[in-house]
Amino acid sequence: MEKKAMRRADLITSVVLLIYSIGMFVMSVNLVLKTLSKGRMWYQSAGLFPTIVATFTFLCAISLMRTAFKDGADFSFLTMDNAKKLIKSKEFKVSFIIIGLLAMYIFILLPITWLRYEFSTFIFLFTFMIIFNKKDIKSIIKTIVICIIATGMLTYGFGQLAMIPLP
Amino acid sequence: MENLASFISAFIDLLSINVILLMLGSTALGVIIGALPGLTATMGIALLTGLTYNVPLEYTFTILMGVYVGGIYGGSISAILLNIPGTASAAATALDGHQLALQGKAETAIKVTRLASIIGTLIGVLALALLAPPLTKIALQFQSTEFFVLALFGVLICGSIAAEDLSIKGWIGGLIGLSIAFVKIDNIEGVARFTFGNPNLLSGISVIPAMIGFYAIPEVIKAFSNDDPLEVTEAKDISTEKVNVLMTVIKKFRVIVQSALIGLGLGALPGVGEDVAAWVSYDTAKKTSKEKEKYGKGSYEGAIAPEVGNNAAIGGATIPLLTLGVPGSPPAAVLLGALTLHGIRPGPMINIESPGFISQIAALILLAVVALWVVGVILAKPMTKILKVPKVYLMPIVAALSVIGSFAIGLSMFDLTMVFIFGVLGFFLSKMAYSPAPIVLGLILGGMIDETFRRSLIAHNGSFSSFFTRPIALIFLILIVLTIAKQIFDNRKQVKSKV
Repeated sequence: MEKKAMRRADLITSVVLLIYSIGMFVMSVNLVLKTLSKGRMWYQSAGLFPTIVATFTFLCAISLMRTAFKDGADFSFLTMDNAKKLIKSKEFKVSFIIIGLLAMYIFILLPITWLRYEFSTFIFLFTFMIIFNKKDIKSIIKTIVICIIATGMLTYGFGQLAMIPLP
Repeated sequence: MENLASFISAFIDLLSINVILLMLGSTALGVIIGALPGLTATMGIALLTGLTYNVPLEYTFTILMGVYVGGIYGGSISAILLNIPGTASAAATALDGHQLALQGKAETAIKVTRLASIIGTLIGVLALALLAPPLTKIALQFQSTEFFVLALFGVLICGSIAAEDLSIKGWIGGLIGLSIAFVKIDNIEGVARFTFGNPNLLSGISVIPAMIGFYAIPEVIKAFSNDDPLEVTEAKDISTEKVNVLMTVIKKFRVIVQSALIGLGLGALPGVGEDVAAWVSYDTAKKTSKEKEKYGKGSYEGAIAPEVGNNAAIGGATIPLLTLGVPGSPPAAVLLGALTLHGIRPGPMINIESPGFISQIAALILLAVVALWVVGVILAKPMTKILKVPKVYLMPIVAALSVIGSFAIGLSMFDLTMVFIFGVLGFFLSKMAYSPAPIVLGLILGGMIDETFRRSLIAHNGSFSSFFTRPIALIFLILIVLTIAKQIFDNRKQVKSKV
């Protein structure tokens, strides 16, 4: 990522980290207060070290934000036009598709109890490969063969050799 | 002498046909994993940890150590043939290795780096066999205070060194890792912490699925972000110049010893590992060389130094892993997970609870070195074809392997959710130049850092005096303060130079 875009991303990250660290700080201090209310010492509390980590995360976020501002980043890039440009970019589309495929595999295909692991995995692999591969007959046949072999190896390797119950 | 005898005895005990064949196979797999851009030794060990869950202990670590050693070397093959290092630890090798390939000396370059890797690993394994057992005796003197400052220093130094863009990002990564580690029932107070009522989080975030998420999934996504075809140089010599590989490497004895010591030292630093060892070895070799001007243009020294350094770091990283329970590198961090999974508790008590285990691991690494020599000869020429495997077929299989590899650890669908979440998070963080190494190290050491900190305070009734009165703790505390101070100073210098 080029430096200007990196610093803009850092600006957004620093805001997220600030919110995150404040949330963690509040929850950690609550834990410390609960410990004290039970008559125990502050250093026994489960919230002690998280409080320290939250504080340092906050400070690091401030430092990151300061560096981003000093390198010329500001919030003016947050416009609808830029958002549309990002969504239409190839990198975003590719990332979105792959994350979507993984989500489909993990949250839809694998949890279906009547669909065996072999079929879920074949569907995932085939869909993944066919989206990013050439669409001619030779490539499709090659993809099918590779998916069958790969699925077979994963099923045999984990299910039979390693004796792991497959999802 | 006793340690050496134990090491030799452990090596002889290993020489069964099953172990030898398994080591050859896993080292070959490691070389291929290391060579393929997008796959790393860390990923390979993480994915195979699940596969070896039901496998007997001796075979498990045969496989994992074979993949580790093979993987670290394998990165140099694609560095030479493609100018794309297969692993980050081979990035420095690409500078001179690929130049040698372009000069028609690809085969010689591969042979030279293989021999350098073998020598580096041998030095590392000797250090492990001889130094680790006495170190456990020193580590037995460690109390909570020492473990706290050591582990904290590890996360901090990992963050400082591994950061790709700003150092603060390395520290933020470490802090993110620490905060993920807090999610569970606290061992000291027995209260649920940051679980939000989810029963799946009561035992904490499983390390292996998180590591697979951070290391494997982002690579799968990034692989399809660019369409550039790979230009693979053939792994053969076109140049008519005859080079004696053995003499070429032996003549660089000074570079070998220097790089091995750097690799051992940096490998032993928690979380730092092979990548940094390779670069520092290369950089130091260049600065101390009488042929500085040849570096970057096809210098054999330039290819030897990083390979000796990164392979010596294998032994270096395994020393704190086994003696202190603090991994010296990302692959060692995954090995920590594997050790815990198989009931081995690394740390000062390892020689008491699992006698002879350190010698066994050292012997396995030595066997992996022998396997590397055999496998390296066999795979040298076919690697060109292997490197041409299209990512459109390889990466979806890696994704499927990541999913089943994570599931195999706890047989839990929740672990798959973790792989997905950390995979997506890891991808976005990597786009913003956050290295996964400090995040994962923070996750692994977070529990230990938190508990040892509070135990130290409990033992001293809330007093921080032990951090200043215990010598080893004080040394690490000073190192922590110096590391932070240096960073603040460097940042201010950078800001002033811009103004």
